[in-house]
Amino acid sequence: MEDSRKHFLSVVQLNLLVLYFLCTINIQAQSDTTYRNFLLETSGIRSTYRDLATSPLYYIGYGLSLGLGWDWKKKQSESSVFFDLSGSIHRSASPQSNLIPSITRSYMASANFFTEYLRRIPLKKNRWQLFLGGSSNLSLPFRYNPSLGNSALGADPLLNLMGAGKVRLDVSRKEERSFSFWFISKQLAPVRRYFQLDLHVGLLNFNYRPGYAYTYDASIQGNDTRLLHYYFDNYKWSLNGWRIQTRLSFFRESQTGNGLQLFYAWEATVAKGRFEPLALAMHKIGIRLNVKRKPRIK
Amino acid sequence: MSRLAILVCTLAWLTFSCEKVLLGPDKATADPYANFDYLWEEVDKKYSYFALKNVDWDAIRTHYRSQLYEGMGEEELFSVLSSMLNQLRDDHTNLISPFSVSVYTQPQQANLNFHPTTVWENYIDERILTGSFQHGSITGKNIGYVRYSSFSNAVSDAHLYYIFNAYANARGIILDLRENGGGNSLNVGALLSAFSLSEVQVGSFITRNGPEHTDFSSPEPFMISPGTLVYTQPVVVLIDKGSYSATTMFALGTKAMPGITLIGDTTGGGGGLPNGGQLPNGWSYRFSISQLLDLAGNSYAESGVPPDILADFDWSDLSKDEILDQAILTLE
Repeated sequence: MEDSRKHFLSVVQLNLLVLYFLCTINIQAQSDTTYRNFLLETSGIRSTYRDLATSPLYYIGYGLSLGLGWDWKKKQSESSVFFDLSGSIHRSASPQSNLIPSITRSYMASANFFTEYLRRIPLKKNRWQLFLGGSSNLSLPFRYNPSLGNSALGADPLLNLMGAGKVRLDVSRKEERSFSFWFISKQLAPVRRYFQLDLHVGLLNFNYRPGYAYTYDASIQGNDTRLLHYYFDNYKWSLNGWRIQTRLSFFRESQTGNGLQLFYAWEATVAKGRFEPLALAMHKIGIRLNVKRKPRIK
Repeated sequence: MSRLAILVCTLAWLTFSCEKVLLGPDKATADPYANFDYLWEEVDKKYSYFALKNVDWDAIRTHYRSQLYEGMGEEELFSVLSSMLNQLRDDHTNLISPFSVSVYTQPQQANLNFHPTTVWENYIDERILTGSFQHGSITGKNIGYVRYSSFSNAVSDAHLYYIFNAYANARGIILDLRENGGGNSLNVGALLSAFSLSEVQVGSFITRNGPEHTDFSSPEPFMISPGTLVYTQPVVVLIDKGSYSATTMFALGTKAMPGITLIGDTTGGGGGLPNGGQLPNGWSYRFSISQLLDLAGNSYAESGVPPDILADFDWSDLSKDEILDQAILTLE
């Protein structure tokens, strides 16, 4: 009975996933001119995490992130696919010591795959644009903390199906303008630029977390020495926790049609799992290059 | 534009100031009571040998918590916490601070039974180093001697192939695991597979999976399948009190495999897999969270696997290794 219930739930979850991906990746289906951009991004990150299954301490670290992706823009909709890898070195936020401070280090590498699909919502004000839709985010934060012995490894896949929205404020210079300051005078050409605020809030939050004791004495199958197979033996999927992502960016388009985006992004996640939660937060400051591709006209 | 500036400032302020509110309050503290309670509760929730060792964990809490006081030094706190952990009588249990590591030291309380110089100088023709193994022929006997000092060292099929070929026509081999303190349990399966002609279950594992001291997962099988090369001649395995953790696993596994004889002293134990964690003051700890069971479901591995033939090293005469002598006699 328990098995059939679990089977039913997993089938429902799988169908939900498939439906969601079909919605978010349904990019080319409508007849409209599609403007395509290749995206290249780099950023500095400050990340904080705590896995209560192994330590009550927060770990705070700094690192770098690199990503690439594509976006597709049409008059009534926008969508994108993005993949990034980040790496950071953390140290424990341990309390003061009168002898030797107990500072421990951990290392995190994270891979993220992101998709979104947004529809434009008509507004009265021309300078403002509003988009609403959905996004999905699959992350694998892989952590290594040598001070934790057999619990040193932490790998918790997170899948979040999110409600997404973006607000864009057009601050383009539409006409040529003259600029003068003391002895500097210049003619400023028209330029397309805007501010944008993105917000993603997790609606269905899946996480794959370890069992009760975190470390688990799994079965040994003869000469099978696959460490990851042994490691993940007691992991279980859960549907709980939350995730939120925000991003504020300034976009400026060059004369060639390519663009440069400066952005500040913040995200926070709590993956509750079945026993003790994993909490993650990340601040990013970076640059995104938009390389304009030939428009596709249907 | 001013509205946008307000929005940006509000967002930045919210993300920085509310981050830890959203993620949960900071639990880092040097307070002795908070650290004591955290460690006691973690052990209470996850330690695997309370019932088997008849440990009254509540009474231990009462006894050691009364030794705490406000403003006590870190060394004093370390002493109280490590004394509490030593009540578990488990070498897989340690408290690790930047200035000290607590150890229960079960193997050191027993007689040592291995003197490497005696073996290499008085028994072996030529010592050969192949991967993680040292080996050689026993002088004047058609017997191979193989020394494996740690299960942390990788077991490679290619190295085993070379060694087994070297002693293919011997009466058998002596695998010396004395003072082998353990290591990677996956190497246990890999090495046992080199002596098994068929798939066989040799034991099982159970792991704590609930708050009651008797809450355990279903047994996970400890299976041995035939290796790519199997040594079919008789095998003698030497063990002593320094044979710990993964070596205890290996010794227990041999009990279900015909053709392998254990000689020496009872192993040091260490039948539980140790976890790893951290206290609110940043110190680390570990303790056993599982039990290793034999084929019949008995849990004796924590107190050691007994040999099939008991033998002791006589330290008054270092020219002879009585345990090795007994192994040679068994193979002859």
